[in-house]
Amino acid sequence: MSAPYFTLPEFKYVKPSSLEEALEILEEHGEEAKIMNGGIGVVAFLKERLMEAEYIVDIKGIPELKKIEYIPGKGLYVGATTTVNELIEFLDKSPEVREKYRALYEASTHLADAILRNRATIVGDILEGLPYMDAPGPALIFEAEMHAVSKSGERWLPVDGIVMGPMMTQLQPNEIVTEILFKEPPEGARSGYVKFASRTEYGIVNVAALVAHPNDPGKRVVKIAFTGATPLPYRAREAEEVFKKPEPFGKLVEEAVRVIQDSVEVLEDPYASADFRKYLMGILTTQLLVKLARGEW
Amino acid sequence: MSKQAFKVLGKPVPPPDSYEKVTGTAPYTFDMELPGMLYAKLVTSTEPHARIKSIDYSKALQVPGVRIVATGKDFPVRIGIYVGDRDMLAIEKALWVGHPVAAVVAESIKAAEKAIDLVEVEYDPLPAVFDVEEALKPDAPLLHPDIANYKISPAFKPVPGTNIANQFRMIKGEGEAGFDKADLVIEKTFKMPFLHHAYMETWNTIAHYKVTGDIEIWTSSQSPYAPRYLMAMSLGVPVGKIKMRIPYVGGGFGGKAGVLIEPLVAMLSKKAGYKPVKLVMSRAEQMRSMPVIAGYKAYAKIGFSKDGKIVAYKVRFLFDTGAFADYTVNVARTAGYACTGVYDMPNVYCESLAIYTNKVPTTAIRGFGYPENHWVLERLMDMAARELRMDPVKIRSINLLRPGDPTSTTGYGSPLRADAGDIQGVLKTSAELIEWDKEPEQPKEPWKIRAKGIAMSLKGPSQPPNAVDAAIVKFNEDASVDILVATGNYGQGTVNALRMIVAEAFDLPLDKVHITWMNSTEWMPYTWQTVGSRSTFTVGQALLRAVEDAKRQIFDIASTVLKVPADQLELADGKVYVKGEPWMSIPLTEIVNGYTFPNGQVLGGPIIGRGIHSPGILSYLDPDTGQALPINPETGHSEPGHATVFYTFGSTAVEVELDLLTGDIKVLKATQVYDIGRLINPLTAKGQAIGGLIMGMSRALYEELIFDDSGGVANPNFSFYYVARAKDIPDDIRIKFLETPQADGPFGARGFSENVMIAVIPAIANAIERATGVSITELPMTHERVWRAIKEQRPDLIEKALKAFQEWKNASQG
Ligand SMILES: Cc1cc2nc3c(=O)[nH]c(=O)nc-3n(C[C@H](O)[C@H](O)[C@H](O)COP(=O)(O)OP(=O)(O)OC[C@H]3O[C@@H](n4cnc5c(N)ncnc54)[C@H](O)[C@@H]3O)c2cc1C
Repeated sequence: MSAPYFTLPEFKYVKPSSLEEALEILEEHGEEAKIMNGGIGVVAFLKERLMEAEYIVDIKGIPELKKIEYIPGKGLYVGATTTVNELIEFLDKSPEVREKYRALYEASTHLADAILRNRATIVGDILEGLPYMDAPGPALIFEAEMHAVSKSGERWLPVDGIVMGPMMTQLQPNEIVTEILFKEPPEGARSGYVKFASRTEYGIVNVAALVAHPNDPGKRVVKIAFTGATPLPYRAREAEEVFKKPEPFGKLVEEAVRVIQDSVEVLEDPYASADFRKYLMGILTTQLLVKLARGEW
Repeated sequence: MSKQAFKVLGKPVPPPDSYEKVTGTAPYTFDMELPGMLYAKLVTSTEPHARIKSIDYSKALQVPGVRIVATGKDFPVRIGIYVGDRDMLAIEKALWVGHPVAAVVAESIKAAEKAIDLVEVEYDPLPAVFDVEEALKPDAPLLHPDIANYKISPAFKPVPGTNIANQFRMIKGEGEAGFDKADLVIEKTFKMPFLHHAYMETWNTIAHYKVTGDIEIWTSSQSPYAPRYLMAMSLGVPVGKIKMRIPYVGGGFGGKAGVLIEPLVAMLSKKAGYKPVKLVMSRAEQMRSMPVIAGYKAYAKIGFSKDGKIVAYKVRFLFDTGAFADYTVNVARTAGYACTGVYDMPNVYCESLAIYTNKVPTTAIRGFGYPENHWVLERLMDMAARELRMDPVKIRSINLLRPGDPTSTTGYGSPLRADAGDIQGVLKTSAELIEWDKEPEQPKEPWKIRAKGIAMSLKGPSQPPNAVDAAIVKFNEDASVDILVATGNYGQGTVNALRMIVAEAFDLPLDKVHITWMNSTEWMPYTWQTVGSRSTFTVGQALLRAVEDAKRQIFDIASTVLKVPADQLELADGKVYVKGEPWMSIPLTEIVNGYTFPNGQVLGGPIIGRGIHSPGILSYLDPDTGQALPINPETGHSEPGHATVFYTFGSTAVEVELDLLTGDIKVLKATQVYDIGRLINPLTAKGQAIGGLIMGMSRALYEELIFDDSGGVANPNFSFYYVARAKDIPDDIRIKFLETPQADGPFGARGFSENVMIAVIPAIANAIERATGVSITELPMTHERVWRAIKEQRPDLIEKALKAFQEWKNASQG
């Protein structure tokens, strides 16, 4: 964010009112057309001249992309154009669902600020692909998938791996994400989110974690994901495996942290060194996991 | 006068501009549009240091709507307030990444923004220097080889042939030799980063150079006269031809003092065919291309006797001014002459250099050298307290200056006046408010520590000795009063305080005293500048004299009408009374435009009072010794001179919580104590104290401009240049004002609105030092910096904390 401009480069703005119409436009213009959701990221990238588009396709006029629905046993379906504040409001009104998706709720309330959250969408936050976003971590621990449709078909894509870099995803230019599914967490799971910011409004380390039956090795499930510290959202699968061992939870936390610190590729920038990030990943993950296990989070 | 005697002073009065601001109806320069207006946009350098070989703007001119493109060749003049080193557009050389090298003027901002991308600049790179110590080396690349030919104000001494924009030295007593007597000597190096002022409104200017040669300007400056004069001087335009108008301004913090971009926009207006031109800065442009706040490195050494008295102090400030030092030379000089802070020291050697580097230029800042020098000195006091096993309050108390004692002098040799304020009372009150003697309650996590820290501050306006001010009061037909002062109103509440002073002095209700939002050289009388917390004090005095002047005229008329001598009259409740005979009176409404007798004859005319403030007691400091020059005895004052018209004493104490595992510092409680002479408006005074606390905290913990490898600002936005937010504000803020009146202050008042941030910064680090023995000397105190400092200086603490953390973790294993 260092470009001098007040104005945006020229583009044609289209706001289709049906999914059909939107897909048509994308099909026709391919790479020349870019999808705009809340537009927070799109406008910033345009303003910075980091993105070019002949057509900006605003999908906010498509009614079926706005939804929030919790289906017991399946999970939480959040429409593509659902804003972060709409999600927070929904969860505030359904405390049981909120507790199931506590990490998502906490990440949402720490995402940007109240005004931005009126526009920013969960799907957009994930697809924007910057390293320090808050929505991807919870998406990874809830094994989230996005539903992508195009003229030629539809598919469900796991969020893990969907992002390849800033504004770069596995999606085809003719595909629109209609919704994201946060899968039903394992029975008895508790989850939480830590955003550790230092001199920026984004976290230098963000941890999302989920713990179920910590003291019952047979049933124990632990999921851990990071953003902010790693170039891409990172699900610490190797570390999660550690918890399959029969040892006591606290001991495994130590081992899992070591696995993370030994294996992960960590960012280094003027806001925090790689060393410090790695160290913090250990402290914050330990704190979060232990507190979740004890029911103190 | 006792407090109860006041009708207006001491009451919480919201500034009238608040209503317009919160309703979004206050007009700023940014909002203003004129018929036929054109829009300018800057092309900036991509090189840190380079000769400009050529600028090809033929393609830019082809963009529809583009009128002209200007380069440094069009305006080869330099501007500035103290060291006139600034160019309007790079002259021959680009000096930093972000240096404006050309300007496009077009019919729309859109066309202008398109055109800047089409201006082709060919650079011939030169070696660049980004570090002050590198810049001091004999073979360092020179940024300003022609500095000897620049316009330099008499208080400043650049060193031609070097990158030194100003060199200030102060020696008191035996200087460095004083260390021979010290039982304890502490030596430390301190650092402060470059900062951004973070005012909400960026620099915005509209200029209309008219065919008549008159130049009308609307600008987001702090006050109108300084930019007008500086602009006239540099452009060679008669000063009276320039009408400098200042609408609402969205904050300043020193960053809109002196001259901004007015000369450039005026010249673009002329070149574009005498059309009004507007130039507004985006945040990124503001932070990369316009002046920010200088960083520094300081080498300090302090000597104490066993009983805790300071015997000698030495400090060398190396201020990094970036590519232009214009205003910063005075920030650096002030840090030098006020280096001794609130303490009496027999032997002092302070040196302060302002040094050019190939980075964004710098300018004035709230606090103006005082946060900088207090960060060093107030930290050293706590380090000494620790070494000497003394209480930080006690070691301060025994070293404080003694107002009124001629043997206790500031570093530049002047004793403080007896009514300068209750310096011991400030320290004592601050300590009491934070409950200094009570141990903080410790959090349940054993890796977190709570601790208290304290620091003192003093601050005076850093104005030239000949900075003068005028004020006018005039009456409307209904006997209400208009105040005419050129004092800037950019959020501090000063003009509202001046209104309260006038209401009190005239005994008029507040709604009978009017102020206005638009400031201009056309109708407001001269004031040097609105900076340095000076205006309540200086312009307040001018206004009180204006009120006296108006009263004399009123009594003159009334004395004829009521047939009593003028000295028998008094003014109250909008009437002139005969003293002791209140039934003998005339309403002011019958006097303010002259008194009309029943026969229609008029006596006198419109009442207009004028008053001035002239400091008189200030003098230059000897450039070689830093000692104040003696005052001319024929003026009725005695030697030596002073550097400031007042000093205000302050103290901040904090209780902080430190997380040893993450380096996280939270300010839980804070005190703000200032002896401000007279509390004029408790509402805005409290606002300043809270705002200053947050700004100080923000500088202590978060703010830092980060530079990339080519010296360009890498975080020119508020996502990555983090400024304290609502969530960071401590819940528990304890504010107290002492009121030891200063005889010449208006109703005894002194200024204080910069002081409020100074002690905050060291107080936080002092708390950490007390709790852990870890000395933090570099700002901001980021998580990583604090964590590393603890790891280096007290690895045992981190080990202990980690052990406790392990124990806490393992406690879960059943
Ligand atoms: C000042 C500021 C502070 C911020 N702070 C935070 C923070 O603290 N934490 C945080 O996580 N984020 C933060 N952000 C980022 C912000 O939250 C994201 O920009 C926002 O969530 C993106 O969502 P959007 O709906 O606006 O997406 P858009 O900007 O509309 O889209 C983003 C990207 O996703 C693509 N896209 C969006 N929807 C679809 C779809 N349905 N199908 C296919 N592609 C799609 C777009 O084409 C584009 O590439 C901040 C942003 C700003 C400006």
